[in-house]
Amino acid sequence: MSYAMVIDLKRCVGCQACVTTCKAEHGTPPGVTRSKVMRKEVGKFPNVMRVSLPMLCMHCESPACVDVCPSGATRKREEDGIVVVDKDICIGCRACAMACPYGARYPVSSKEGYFGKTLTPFEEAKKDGMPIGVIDKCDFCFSTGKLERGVVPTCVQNCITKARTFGPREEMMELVVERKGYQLEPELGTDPSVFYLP
Amino acid sequence: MITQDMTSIDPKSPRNVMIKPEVQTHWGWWVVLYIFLAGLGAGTFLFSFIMLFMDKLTDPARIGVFIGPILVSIGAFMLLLDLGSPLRAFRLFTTRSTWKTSWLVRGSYILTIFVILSLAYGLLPWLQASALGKGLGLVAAIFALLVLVEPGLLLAVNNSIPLWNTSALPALFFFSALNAGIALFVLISLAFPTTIGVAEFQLMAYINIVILIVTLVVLASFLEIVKETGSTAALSVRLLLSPSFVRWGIQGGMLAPLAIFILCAIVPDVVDIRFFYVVASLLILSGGLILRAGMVNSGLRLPVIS
Repeated sequence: MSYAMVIDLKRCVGCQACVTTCKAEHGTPPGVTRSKVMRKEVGKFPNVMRVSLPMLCMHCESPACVDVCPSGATRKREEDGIVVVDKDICIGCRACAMACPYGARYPVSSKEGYFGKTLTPFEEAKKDGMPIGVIDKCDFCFSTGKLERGVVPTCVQNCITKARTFGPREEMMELVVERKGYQLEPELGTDPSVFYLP
Repeated sequence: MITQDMTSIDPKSPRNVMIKPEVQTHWGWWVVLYIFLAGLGAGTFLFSFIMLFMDKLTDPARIGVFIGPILVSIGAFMLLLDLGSPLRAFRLFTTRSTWKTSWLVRGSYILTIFVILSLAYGLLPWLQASALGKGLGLVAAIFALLVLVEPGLLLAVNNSIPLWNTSALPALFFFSALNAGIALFVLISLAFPTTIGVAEFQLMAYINIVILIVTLVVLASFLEIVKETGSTAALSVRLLLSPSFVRWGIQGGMLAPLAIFILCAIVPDVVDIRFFYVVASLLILSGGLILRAGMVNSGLRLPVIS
């Protein structure tokens, strides 16, 4: 069984709630954005609109990052298809960040917090999970134990428009096929597990 | 299959570039120095070994087979400094199965074996004349060939960066590194004015001319191939061919030394040749570094299109 996520772009309003809740859940330092929302204005006046594209690790079926990892720190879990990084093993070569076509991997390099050198109590509590020099990325909230408890990832939980759906890939595929969903950069052969509904 | 379903996207729906092609920022100067020094060291060793094997220019060649692995070691150290957690670098050698897919792991093994074998060959001059020594040198030379192509492969396997993702890149780095190796060999030769005469310098000039022409042909082919592979690749080529790169990397680092070597091949005065050789060799070395820096720093990532 593999997990997958479906993001309905018609519902997404680009509010960044997913970004904020991810930051709060994992305490990622500056420069690390496991979840991000790209926004762009398209069209010509007067027919213009703002489009949003929420992005995260695509947990690909054929992940490019796993192949290039020299230490075996990055691996795809057989149990649930989640691509995880073992931060005790990662050597910080950033080969995975180079290989990932979605820019979903971030080297943890900042010793400072969001408010300068002195960390807030929250940042202090979370810093052990963000060692300097290794790679950080979305793990569908696997590291927080949410999935084991049967709870969906925090970005799914806190999406204000319920644009995100999370579950076994087979179930998600029904929605994807029905709504003519698509993957990002399918031509690269990574077969992402995050799908977008137009 | 899902990939077939992906073709069912409504063709009328607009496709938007949500993330523009951006220059990769993960690999910088440490990696550039690694690529340069590894190639330079392997090139120097390879050329020096060939000279020793042919029993020509043996004085500078004995120095060259020693300097080569030292330069490769310094290059490997640069790569170590680039790691976020350098103390865990031993994991490159202790993790089973990653060598099947990771060029960093393969490269670590190749570099280590090369340095051990070539240092043994370079440090034991009495060994060089024996059959065992020649065999050792030959194996080290084969690994030097691998060291020459490995940095190119390390970059070329990234299919998210079209400028690098071509088989022409390892070939370009191979010939450019060989060029740099010969240039360093020439500089070493200048320390032996009594044993290296006009004929020897002219021999090196001919070799340099051939390798420089091959490098220029490979560079031109590389640029021609890459710019036709897509808009991001074409943009990368435009970024690479900045005025300073063209001036110092191509004109200064390849065309000017080529002109100097052609001149050296026909000028008989050894004193003039030495002066020109120093200039040409230094230009080749700086051109090699600029080529690698340009290549790494012009690596645009593919855009994300939704």
